[in-house]
Amino acid sequence: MAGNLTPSQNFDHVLNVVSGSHGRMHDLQYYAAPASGESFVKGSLLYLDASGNLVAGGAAHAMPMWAITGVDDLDANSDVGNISGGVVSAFVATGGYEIFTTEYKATDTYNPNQLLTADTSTAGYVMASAAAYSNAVVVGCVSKGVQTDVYNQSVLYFWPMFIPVTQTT
Amino acid sequence: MFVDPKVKAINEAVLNGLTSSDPYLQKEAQNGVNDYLRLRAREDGFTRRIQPPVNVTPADLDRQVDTVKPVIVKDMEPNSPAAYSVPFGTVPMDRTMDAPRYRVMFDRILTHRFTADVANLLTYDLDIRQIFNDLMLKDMLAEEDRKYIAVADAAVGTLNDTASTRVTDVGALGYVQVGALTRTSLTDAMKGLPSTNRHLSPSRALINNITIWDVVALDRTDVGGDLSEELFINGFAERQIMGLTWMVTIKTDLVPLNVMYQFAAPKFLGDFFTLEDVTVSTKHENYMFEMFAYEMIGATLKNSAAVCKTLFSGSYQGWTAAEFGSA
Repeated sequence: MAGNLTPSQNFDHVLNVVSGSHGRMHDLQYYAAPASGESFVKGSLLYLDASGNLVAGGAAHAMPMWAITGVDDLDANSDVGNISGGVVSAFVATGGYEIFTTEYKATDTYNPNQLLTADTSTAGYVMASAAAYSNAVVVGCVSKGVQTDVYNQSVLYFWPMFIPVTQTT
Repeated sequence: MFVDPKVKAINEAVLNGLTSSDPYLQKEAQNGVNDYLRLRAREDGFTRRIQPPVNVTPADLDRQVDTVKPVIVKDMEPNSPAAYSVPFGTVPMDRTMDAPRYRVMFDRILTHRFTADVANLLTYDLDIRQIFNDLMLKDMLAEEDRKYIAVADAAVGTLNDTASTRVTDVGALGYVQVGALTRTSLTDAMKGLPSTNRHLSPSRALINNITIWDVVALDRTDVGGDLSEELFINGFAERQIMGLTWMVTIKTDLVPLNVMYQFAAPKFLGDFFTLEDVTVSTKHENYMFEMFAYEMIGATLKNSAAVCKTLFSGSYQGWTAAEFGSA
């Protein structure tokens, strides 16, 4: 029988800053411990919970961020007995970037200038905002939209931004 | 404001050296004066004394398919089934030879990036660059200690827990109370590591700079006349007591009051690898100066039988679940 195992690869979950990350040593980043039970991967949409821990998804008035490291990346977590890990780092939405990520809702349509919000079914994904976009937090605006990247991953290009919910009804 | 011209000259020399593009001048940046008010005591890390670091290079790393993160895979001592007695004519039972492995993982410890306008540094009556250099180093060592004690605490489990993973793995509790600090409670504490089924001996003890005074308070009937007198006159310095080296730390947030950790010799404990040792980065762009430090390390405390923790409080019941009546 031919082999049928496909090991996971480093590029399965991707976050890439395409433009705007001028001088990487001064990027607008944030790092914190992930909340207990979180399992988000690189490229996921995150926000800070009330305890100051990073959680996958979005919230009405919470600053959107995108994970540079996943919870279980080996420099963010480690095997029992190791001292390494404990925090994850993220790009902050107001940093002024164009980015692409693998973590988006694939069934939505992403034309240029489509606003993005947090996916309501898969925590950590972004999805297309509704026409009445101000009923949910806006976390980005589509630039090139969905593209196929070098290892055949579908990725979504967009500019991060932050418009908190303005309608509370 | 009076600024000592000599100090000012030294500070200018330091700044000129540091901010020069000439590497030789950077190296020659002079140490400044030491005349400033200290507000708190700081110390070097204790982790590197418990588990001395070993430098590794990229050639020592083991490649993984699913990640680009640096990892070193190490082998552990194998177990073997017991020998047995048989009548004549009996053949041996077969057993496959294998040994467990584990991964040493790395991350980066980083200080904040300290920045200043060069003009604002000239008015300090102290060598602020050298001071921040020392602070950055000690802050990084403190982070190593914080993470190492967190792993030690995870290994020993909670106080008097007879059902912990450690009890299942190595046959003895990892954290017990032994009563107030006396000669007797100290000897009971020493039974912690030998009580496991791996029978290791402690090599180093770690205690804070307040609890250690309870050791100094032991009188001549507890520790003998000469030592009692010497401790009374000179206080406690790092020394051998009961066959192990006692290390005293001021980090009472990591090693609380009335707590003592014991560690076996480094070869039984785990690893401490430095893939990139402490590096201080300095940059001068026009009139702005910045500096930060970083290192890349991987460390393990992989053998839970090589560490135990004692609370000098309550009453001593023992180190095994049987002594607690739970086995």
